[in-house]
This record gives sequence, C-alpha cells and structure tokens, in this order.
Amino acid sequence: MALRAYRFPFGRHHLFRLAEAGAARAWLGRIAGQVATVAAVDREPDHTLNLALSWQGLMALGLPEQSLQSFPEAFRQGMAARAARLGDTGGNAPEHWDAPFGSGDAHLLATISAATAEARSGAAEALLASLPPAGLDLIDSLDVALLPGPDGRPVPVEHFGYRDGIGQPSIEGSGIDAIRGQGTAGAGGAWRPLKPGEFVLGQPDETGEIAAGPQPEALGRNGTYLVLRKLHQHVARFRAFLRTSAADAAEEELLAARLMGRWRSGTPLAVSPGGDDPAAAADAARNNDFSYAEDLKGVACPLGAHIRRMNPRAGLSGPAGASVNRHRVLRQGLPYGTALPAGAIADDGAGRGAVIILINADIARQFEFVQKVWTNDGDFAGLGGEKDPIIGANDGTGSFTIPRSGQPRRRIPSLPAFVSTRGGEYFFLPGIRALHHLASAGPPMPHPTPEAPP
Amino acid sequence: MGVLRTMGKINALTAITKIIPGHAPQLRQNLEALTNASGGKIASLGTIHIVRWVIFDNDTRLLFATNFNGDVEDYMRDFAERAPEGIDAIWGHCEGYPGARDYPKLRDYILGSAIETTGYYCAYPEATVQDILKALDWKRKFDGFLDQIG
Repeated sequence: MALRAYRFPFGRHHLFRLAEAGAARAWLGRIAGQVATVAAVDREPDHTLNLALSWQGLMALGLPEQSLQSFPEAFRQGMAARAARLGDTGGNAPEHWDAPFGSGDAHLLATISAATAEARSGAAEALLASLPPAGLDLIDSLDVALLPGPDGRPVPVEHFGYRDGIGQPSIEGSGIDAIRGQGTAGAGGAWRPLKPGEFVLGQPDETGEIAAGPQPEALGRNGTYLVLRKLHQHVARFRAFLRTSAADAAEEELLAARLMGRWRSGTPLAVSPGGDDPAAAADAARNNDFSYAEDLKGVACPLGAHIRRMNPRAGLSGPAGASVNRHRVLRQGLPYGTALPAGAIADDGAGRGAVIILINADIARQFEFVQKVWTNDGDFAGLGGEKDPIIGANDGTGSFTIPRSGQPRRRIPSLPAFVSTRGGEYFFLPGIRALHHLASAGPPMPHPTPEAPP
Repeated sequence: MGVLRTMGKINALTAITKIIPGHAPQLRQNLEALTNASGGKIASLGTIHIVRWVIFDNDTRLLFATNFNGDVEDYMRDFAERAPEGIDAIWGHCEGYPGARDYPKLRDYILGSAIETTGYYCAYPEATVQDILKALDWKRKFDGFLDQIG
C-alpha cells in the first residue's frame, strides 16, 4: 500500500475502537503475519489486509508517552482538528461528518482489498473471526468497489464518469518500472523517480536526507502515514452544471475535460487538447507523458484543472514551481455507493462518492499542503482565490478560468461544490516489524491474553 | 497561532532575537548583501510583500518584521529547504539558533521568538504579491498599447 498503488476492484474499510490495550496488542501480534507486504502484493493474491492506527489508537494500545510525543503534530492532532487548514468548514465541517469520523474513536483501520466480492467477504469474515471476544469494538465498516461498466463488469471510472487511477508518482526502489511523466520533471524533459523517503519513513527523501521519524526507530521503520478521506460526490449537480454551462454535448465534454485536465476517457488535455484520443488514454506510455513545460499559460490544459493542481509537474512559471517534488502523494481509492443512472440530472439523495487513501511520509508537507495551497487556493498558479473546480471547497461564488490562445480568457462563474467532505482520519501505517513492536510495546499486559481466558 | 496577525490574505510576523556578542558587523554585512539586487532569494519566494530586519539596542538585538501571503508553515518550510544558507547567514549570528536544515526546530525558533502584533493595517488586504505584480504588468502593457495607438 505504501509503495504500490492498489488496483483491487473491491475493498472494505473496518474501523475499530480499541477498548482494552492488552487484548488489542495480543490480537495485533497474531494478525501481523497476515498483513500485506510488497512481496506478497506482487504475488497477486486475491485479497490483502492492511492495518493502520490513529494517534488515539496508539495511545489506546498503551504506547509510552515519549513515543507518542515523537509523532508529528499534524498526526497527533488528527484530521478533524486541522479542519480549518483543510477547507473542511461550513457544510464540510467535522460536526457534519458521518460517524464515527472525527470522533476520536476510529483507533484502528483494517482495510481488506480484494479481487472479487467473494474474496472480500471471505477475508472480512476471517478478520472478524480472529478478533478476541472483547477489546476491539467494530464501529464502522464501509464497502468500496469499482462501479460496474455497461456490461456489468467493474471499470476504473469514478462517479463523475472519468477514468481514474492513471497518474501516480513513480518511486525509486519500488521495483516498478518508471513510466515517463510519473516521477518528477527535471531539466530538458527528463523524468526521474521520486526518492522513497517521500512515501516511506526512514529512507532518504527529495532533499537527500532521512527525516526524523517516530521513536523508537523500530516503530517508524518502513512505516508511513495514511490519510483517509470520505468524499461525497454531487453527481446530479455536476451533470446539471455542465449542461447549463455548455451549449451542446460536445461543449459539455470539452468543459468536463478542462475542469479535470483529462477527457473522460483519461486522455490528458496536455497530450490531446483538440479532442479526445482514446488510444492515448489506453497507452501507459502516453497517458502520463507530459510536463506542462510548453503550456505555462494553460492554453492546452487550464492552470486550474484538477489534475494540474494535484501535480503541477513543470507547469508553474512562478516561484512555487521549485518545490513541486516535495508535495506529492500516492493516491488510491475506490468509489462507494451506487452510480447515478446515466443521464439523470436530478439528485436521488443517495450517498455516493469515493474513499480516498493517500500515502505520504509527512502529512503537513504533503497532503495538507496539497489541500490548502493547490486545492483550495489559486495564488500559487496566478489564479487569485480560485479553487480546484472538482474537489475544491467551492460555494457558488468561485470561478474557473480557461486561458485561450488569441482571444480573451473565458471564465466560468458561480462554481458550486461538487464534492463534500463526509469524514476522514489520519492514520499511521506501520511496517510489519513495527506491528510486532506495537504488539509487544507498552506497559506489561495486566491480564491474561485471550488465548488463555481466565 | 497567537503571534501571527492576519488581515485578509496578508499575515504579519514580528520576531526579536539576541545577537551573539561581536557578530553584529558580519550580520549587518550579510543582511545588506541578501536584500540588495531586488531581494534575490527573498523575491523568488513570491509571497513576501515586505520584510525588514533592524539591528538595534546597541548591536545586541535583531528585529525581523515581515508581511506575507499564505500559511507561515507552508512557505517557511519551502524557503528553509530552498535557501537554508540565507537563513543561516542571518540567524546563525543569533543566540539559540538551531540551523535551517531541521525545519520543525527552525519554526519553533522563529515563532518562539515572535512577539504579538498590537496594531495592524493594510491598504490592500485581499491582494497577494502575485496579484499585485500581475496588475502592474498589465498596466505597463496597457500603457505601452496606449502609447502605440495614441
């Protein structure tokens, strides 16, 4: 999960409250051997298990105070406490989130990713059967899955209808061949993979240094931070907005492409600005091979388009361009809820969206920076106060600027929010050895372990 | 953040640090060099409206007063990564300075030596450095256009 963006079509996120440290630690010790490693994922299993803990979870496990305080401030505070930074205000504020997010009770995240719905059910049953009779309370479980395509088979297309999961940072030493466009853009159109320390603790990062991590060292080793966001998508509102902002279906698709930075097929505007080219979308050598270096004004792909904001590559002419490589995150996520029927532009009131999983070594420098500066501000790209048109905290007053060649820029006014935050948490994703450390750390267990009930 | 004063998109930060005895002449020279030539590295940050350093109290203390856009954390970190030698050249002459390469320590040092802003006014609180530079550029171009057709 830390060095591989998962491509499993099915997932289930379990959230547990850890009620009894001894029982929880004993269970962690027993289950640690089942947690997915990179080697295990590369064998293409039919399911994987990943475990992550919030700071409250580490506290509930009885981790010593000195160790707890060695974690970075953003993680200790948690996502809800950082809401103002993240644009999670108004209707997105933590008091409106779905339970149990933001309550402080989501101590442990146990995510099952699976190749089929059956494999998911089987793995979830086995997970729940492994639990001790008391000590870990299941407080939520959330199913995610790729949406069915026209023939009923799952397709990597999110609720708004865009192909998803194309752009990912390539990471040095990840064992995956670097694809052009996925690392960091160097001089003269060269690309190189990002240093592993941007995504895994205890490794050299883009400055060449190894950043200080949680203590003791065994705890941080091969660990990282997992940011979970549950985002509701206002699909009907999105479709209606496209319809009212465009004269015909072709113009709708062009506007949809400009908001995203890719045609709905996944073809990047930077590669094919004049029209969709599905062959380019399907070609892994082409669907990421662009840097915006020849499009600094945003004529091919608007400066404010979603994917350009999420990764500006070499496309920032201003001073903010020098540190793009320090604000990358590994993204993976799957839709939840059922698709709004094709063509419907009235809201059916159903909950639908995506559970996004972001991996980064430094929550404040990576996820929070992206959210605050690249998503919910425009100044870094000379766009004033404009926000991301797809996921920004818009409220009907913002705009989206489309630079054009040889004629004045077009500005789309009155952008509503197409996404609402329904929850989220910061988790620490420990390495396997760290899981064993957690299982044995803390004060001596006061009670017999569940294997030997009293 | 109590020591940070915000008006619209502009933040004020004022910090006072103690100069290591005997270091004031070198510090004075470094500050002059750093701020000459249109600010150099400072300008390249793109978010600092005005920054002022004052050596006072008979060469014993340094006042740092700045007005900038955006989150102090986001930009101070980028600056510390991109120009650590510039930061070292200033606060390296002050007591208790932890160095620019350990960002959390640097932040704690600067914010720890910051003092509360009592009164604050800005004539253009909603304009960022980028907005202003862009507007001036447009005015220059527009004037050029008028000159040509006039």
